[in-house]
Amino acid sequence: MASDPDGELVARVGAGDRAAARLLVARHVDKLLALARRMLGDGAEAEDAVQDTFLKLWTHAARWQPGGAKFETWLFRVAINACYDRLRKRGTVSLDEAPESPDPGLSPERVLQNVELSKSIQAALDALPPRQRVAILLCHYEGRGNADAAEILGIGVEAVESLLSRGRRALRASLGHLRED
Amino acid sequence: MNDDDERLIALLQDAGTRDRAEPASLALSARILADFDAALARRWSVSRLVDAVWPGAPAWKPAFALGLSLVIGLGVGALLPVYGAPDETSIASDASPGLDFGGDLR
Repeated sequence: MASDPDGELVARVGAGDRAAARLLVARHVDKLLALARRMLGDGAEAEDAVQDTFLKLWTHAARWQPGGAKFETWLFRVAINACYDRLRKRGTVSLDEAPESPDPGLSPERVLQNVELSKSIQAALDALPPRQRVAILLCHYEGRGNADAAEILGIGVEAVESLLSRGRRALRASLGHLRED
Repeated sequence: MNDDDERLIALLQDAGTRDRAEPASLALSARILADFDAALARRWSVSRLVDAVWPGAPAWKPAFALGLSLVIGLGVGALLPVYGAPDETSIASDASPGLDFGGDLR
């Protein structure tokens, strides 16, 4: 098994090294936040979920056992559970709010197009059941392999493939209007 | 996987790349690191207490010793009333005799 690229940093965090904590945050926070935003469709709530994820890391780092699950796998699992908790508390899923992330280097027309596209994707993702949504996000949005996603979700690869297949079918139906673009 | 799926995946990948390019706010990173400082301070205060009670011992040892002493204390506390209960016989024998020495002697 390849060595965990975060293993040493996690051990240092467990020993109370603040510089290592800062490096771990810098390495993972953007990915986790992007995933949480797409899971929750709400920027502020996504930030809270990511903060909770790192809080769990700070309290568990001293007990981290190298050689078990890959650290990033564990971290994503914690983040996804934090998102699930929020979705459960919310009860309903918001369809009308989507994060907007305009790139200052793009033309106003392109920015508007991207924002609209982002909203359409968010609305389509929000309409998916949470497990299909997270499978789609891990594999197609994050670019992870099915086996990696299966490990993060704690399910089999076939179950991930089934979630992906159903999720893609629903997204194709929701985003059909974008096919003409 | 058909062409529609491939187009959909490309759309999602593109969205992912764009989203991840937007960095987390400095305020969020600051909040996360403040949590780290607080967690560390809590851990140190606990380890200082453990060190004061049992220098150099891992945390489980004082916790185990405390737990064991609680069990022993509760056990002794539960048994003590049985062995230490006042003996009614001895109280009866200690009772002052109702004798009038003066009257009998006369």
